[in-house]
Amino acid sequence: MSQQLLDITVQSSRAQLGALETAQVLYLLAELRPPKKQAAAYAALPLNLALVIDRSTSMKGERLSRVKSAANLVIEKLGVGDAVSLITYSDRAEVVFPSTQLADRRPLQAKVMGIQASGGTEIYQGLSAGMRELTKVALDQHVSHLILLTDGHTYGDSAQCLTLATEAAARGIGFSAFGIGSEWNDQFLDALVAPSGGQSGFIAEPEQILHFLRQRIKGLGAVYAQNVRLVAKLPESVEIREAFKLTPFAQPLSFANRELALGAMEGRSPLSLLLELTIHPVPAGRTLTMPLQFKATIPGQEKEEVTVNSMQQFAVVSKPRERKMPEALVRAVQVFNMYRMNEKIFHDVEGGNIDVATKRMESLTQRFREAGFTQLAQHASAETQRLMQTGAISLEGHKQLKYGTRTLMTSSLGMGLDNGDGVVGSS
Amino acid sequence: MIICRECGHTEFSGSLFCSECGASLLELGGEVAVLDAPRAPKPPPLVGQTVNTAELPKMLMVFIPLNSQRLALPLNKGRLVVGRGTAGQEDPPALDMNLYHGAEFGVSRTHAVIQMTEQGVIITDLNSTNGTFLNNFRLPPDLPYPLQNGDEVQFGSLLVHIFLL
Repeated sequence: MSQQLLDITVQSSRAQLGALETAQVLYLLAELRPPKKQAAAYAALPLNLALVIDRSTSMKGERLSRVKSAANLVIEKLGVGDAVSLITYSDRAEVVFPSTQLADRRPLQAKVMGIQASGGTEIYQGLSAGMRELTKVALDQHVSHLILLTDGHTYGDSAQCLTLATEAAARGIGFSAFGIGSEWNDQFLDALVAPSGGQSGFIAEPEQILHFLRQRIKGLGAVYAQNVRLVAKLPESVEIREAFKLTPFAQPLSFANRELALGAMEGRSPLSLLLELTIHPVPAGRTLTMPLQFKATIPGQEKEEVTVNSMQQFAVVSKPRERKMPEALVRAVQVFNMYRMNEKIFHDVEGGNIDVATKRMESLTQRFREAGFTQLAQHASAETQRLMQTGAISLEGHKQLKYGTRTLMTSSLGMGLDNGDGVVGSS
Repeated sequence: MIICRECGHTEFSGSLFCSECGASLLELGGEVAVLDAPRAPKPPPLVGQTVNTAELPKMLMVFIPLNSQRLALPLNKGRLVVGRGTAGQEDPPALDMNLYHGAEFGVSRTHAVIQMTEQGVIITDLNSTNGTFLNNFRLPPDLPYPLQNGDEVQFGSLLVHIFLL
């Protein structure tokens, strides 16, 4: 039965594997969609949303005023059955309004307008108050999600935050986190959303806040399957080197308890992911079978949890035959490689290897140009200059490149897929 | 291993782009590095046997590497449909891939057909969702292709070897 609840297609960079004495790389691009029949008929669950907003001193001015108007627009967009709460935090948390089923929006919106900026940034306070509000509602009958907006580093409570995010994920609550400006810790926000497969994003300018919030609410309002996970029971000779979600948004994935948390399938658009596998030497004549098991909760189904398997098989031969590589896969790997180059540069600079970093940034600039990514090429070129002159990169530039390449990963699938209808772009 | 032509960095076979300079390795990666591939032993010559190529095969032997199973099917009984049968189906497929995790491998209900003709044994993809691959070439749907002894066929991603006896 369950085969009909998720459609899975997997493309690979190779059709056969070589019997080599050294390791080799294999890429898999997996796409999960709701089946066509189901997609038209499914009823989305109501939302259970907690907005957790940084009101530290640095948010003063345009940032906070944009956040406030964005929050009010979100309240405007929510439906009658949806529940929403709003929490602000600085050194401590304040529940601006508790979990409320929307009826009259105006009193809530008035409360939003009264938020003032002051104090430091202690994210854990905000998250834990947000969790308390979310759990007031029957979790299994809602799409429960916490959206964090912050512009700074949290102080001394990041481990607590990550524990909370893991506990939330286990209860089916998703986390998304957006950083405003450039003074926040991107690795921390990635780690915070990883347990639930949520999104982390970079909001460079305050006027983009609304766009990001609206995108997120739109996706959450059309969830087909929740808590989607990949359980890869791979043979000993196969190792997952990296995993990256590409759509509906690009996000690095990490293993916990031998599972990859993929988040939700939003609407009719596919959930796609790129796997980079290392294949250790295998003698010719063998066949490598790689079972990919996807688990998900699909609201409205009799069985709580759905399991769908997709098997991939590769013959190991001494002279592998060639097959034309799927274009979408090649494009995704290309941008992923650029993303990784930018991450390496960041580590080079942290480790004091400025010459290496400069050389890499130069190469990256050239690759962006060749691929026609003009804006990213400009950012990279500016960072190359900065590296040469000051031996440093700017946080702003690093984030522009990091999140710019993420957006490109998503859009790299939007073109030329043979069944590309409904593939979402980045905006 | 493969070596980037632009910066000389060494990458694992199968890499598509240089991790150091970002250059495309597609041309190099396409042919999985032959450098370190062990040579396959030459097959032993046929001694004391003559092969009559004019004689048409009578049996189709399908070898399924997944569980090392061999299935022998007579070729004189018309069309051999490859697919996945359903409970109570009147005319189930001759090669029912339900027995080999067919659904998980992306085998369609009626996926392909193998049959004997005057020109020899042919295989036709029946417009399957995930395709039929003959020696890694995706068959266009509804067009017959000749099957040779030793061919490798993939139904979706389920791999089988074909022998004509």
